[in-house]
Amino acid sequence: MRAYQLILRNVSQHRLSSVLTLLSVALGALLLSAILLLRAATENSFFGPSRGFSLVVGPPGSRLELVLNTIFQIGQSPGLLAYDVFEELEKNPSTELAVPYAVGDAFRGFRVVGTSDSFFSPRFPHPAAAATADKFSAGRPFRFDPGALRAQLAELAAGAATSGAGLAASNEGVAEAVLGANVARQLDIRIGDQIEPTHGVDGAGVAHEHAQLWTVVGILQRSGTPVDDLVLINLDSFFRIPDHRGGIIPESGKPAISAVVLFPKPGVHKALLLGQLNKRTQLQVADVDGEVRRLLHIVGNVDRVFFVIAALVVWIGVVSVAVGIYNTLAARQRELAILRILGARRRTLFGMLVGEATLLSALGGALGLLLGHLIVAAGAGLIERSSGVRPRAWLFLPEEALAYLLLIGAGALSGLLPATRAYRSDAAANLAPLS
Amino acid sequence: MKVVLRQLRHSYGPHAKRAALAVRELDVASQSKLCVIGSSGSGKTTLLNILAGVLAPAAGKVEIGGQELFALSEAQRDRFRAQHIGCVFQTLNLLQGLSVLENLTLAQRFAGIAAAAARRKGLELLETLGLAERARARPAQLSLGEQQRVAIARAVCKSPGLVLADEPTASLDDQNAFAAIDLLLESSRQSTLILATHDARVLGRFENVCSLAELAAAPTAEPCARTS
Repeated sequence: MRAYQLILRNVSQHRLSSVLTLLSVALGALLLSAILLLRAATENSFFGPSRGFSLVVGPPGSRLELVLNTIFQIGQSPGLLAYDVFEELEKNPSTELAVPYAVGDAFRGFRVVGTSDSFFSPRFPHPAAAATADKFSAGRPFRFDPGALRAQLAELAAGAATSGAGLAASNEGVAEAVLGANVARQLDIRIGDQIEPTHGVDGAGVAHEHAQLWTVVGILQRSGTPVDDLVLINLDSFFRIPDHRGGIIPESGKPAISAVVLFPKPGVHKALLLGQLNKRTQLQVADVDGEVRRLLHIVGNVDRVFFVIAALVVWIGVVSVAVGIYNTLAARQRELAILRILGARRRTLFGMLVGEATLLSALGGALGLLLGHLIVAAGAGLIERSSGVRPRAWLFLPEEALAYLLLIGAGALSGLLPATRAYRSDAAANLAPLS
Repeated sequence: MKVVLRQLRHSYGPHAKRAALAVRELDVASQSKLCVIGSSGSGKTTLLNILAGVLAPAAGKVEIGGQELFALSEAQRDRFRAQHIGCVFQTLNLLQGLSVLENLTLAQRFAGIAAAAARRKGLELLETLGLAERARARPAQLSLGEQQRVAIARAVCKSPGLVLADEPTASLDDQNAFAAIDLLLESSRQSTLILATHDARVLGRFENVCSLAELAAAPTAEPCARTS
């Protein structure tokens, strides 16, 4: 019989006490695992969608708000940016790709973005595209006609200068939409269906319905980013919306969009663009990565509080291992004395109890981590619906491995107290007849 | 293994009014069987604990098989006990978390006997005792008589030079008590046996019987008394 078998027998002999101790450790590990998973999901929800983006140009205001609105599709647009800026940036020698964003409408709760076909360029990030080499699960990109757009913008500018009205209703063209994966799935929309966006990005207050219908020509692969919840329409159709006042800057009468997503050429071009654009007063440029890090730093403080709470719960669990084993010692003094009489050394008993504490911590920790993942998996849908963050429940994090090793180490340390008592126990005194 | 005790004294605490044990001189020849008698509290268990090496006497010399027991370090005494001394107790003291066979093999493993050999020897002994079918049972599932037989088997399974038995029949009825004593005497034929008891039923089975009072009073060369 080996030492580990003896430890296992001891654990199984004091089953109730062992199970309760194990559960208290498991509870701590569960909480820790859930917090780590949710933190990873939160980080992923911020870094994931922003991964691959570089700069966002928009009207002056809050840079963070600009990034949140453009990349994460959260909140209201900070204002209007003259369409000229997009054309200028597109031609800038440091630009690899410029993508216009025009927001302000919604379709049944999903945000509508007017953009160009550059949105579907390979340079534009889409997590699924790397694996499938195709961003579309069905259909094709919408047709985008820059010439028609320019003509419409000229007409729009002229109309705004005179009557303030939009484009003539007769000036009709292609009105096509590409849907994010969630939009198509949740609204059960297929290629060829027609949709009818409404004013207001939140979709709650429907102020006005556009007279025009958009034909769905494509559905994007699921990307796990806010793009999944977007309705993309060709920018030339966006500006053709009758009475669409949001498309004109009141002061200048210029046609406007909400922002430009900018992908500089590799090397120094990002710095060059930042240098050029930071001098401008009519616009601002936001470094996506920097803004996301700034936001995470704010969120991180709350996160640290949760982490400390979880660490405390784990610590309580580990202490309960020591208390649990210590409490059984009184009943086990005789058993330990018998082992001594059979020839076990004091250090054997010491090692046995440290081993028992280590085993309970290891098993409790493993159970807790598993339960943590199970609970997060079970609640993933609910978490996503309430926060927009979808945790990846079956992703095992390096931090969890580290926490698990620390937990086992702490468990072994917690066994030192009962082990020391067992080491010092007097075999002769504990072998006295029971009655 | 020959056992030699000289000027042995022990008391519990420095201010104890009387010695818990006093043995002026005792020699027990190798493979002989000695029954030490005394009333409750006379020091029988103290004597056996000292002989087992788990209780250091206040004074005196204990020599087992030519080895002065308390000249060894505690760890060395543990090793010595594991290899050379088997113990049987009044309260059976089987490890309840282990099976009957595991109780037997564990004692042998501490003595350094290989796992397979320990298991084989354990099964052989259980077969001899008619307990082969209970090898996997927990001690609590056995009757008192069966438990005492297993306890005796555990003490002798490693073929120790010295077997110590402390009131091994106290909790048994007549039939089981006689069976246990006979088993103990039979299975420790190759060993020195020192049995401490106040159970008059077992005296008839021993040729050598000493009382603790006699041991305290005068130098005693074995045999100290011969029962009829």
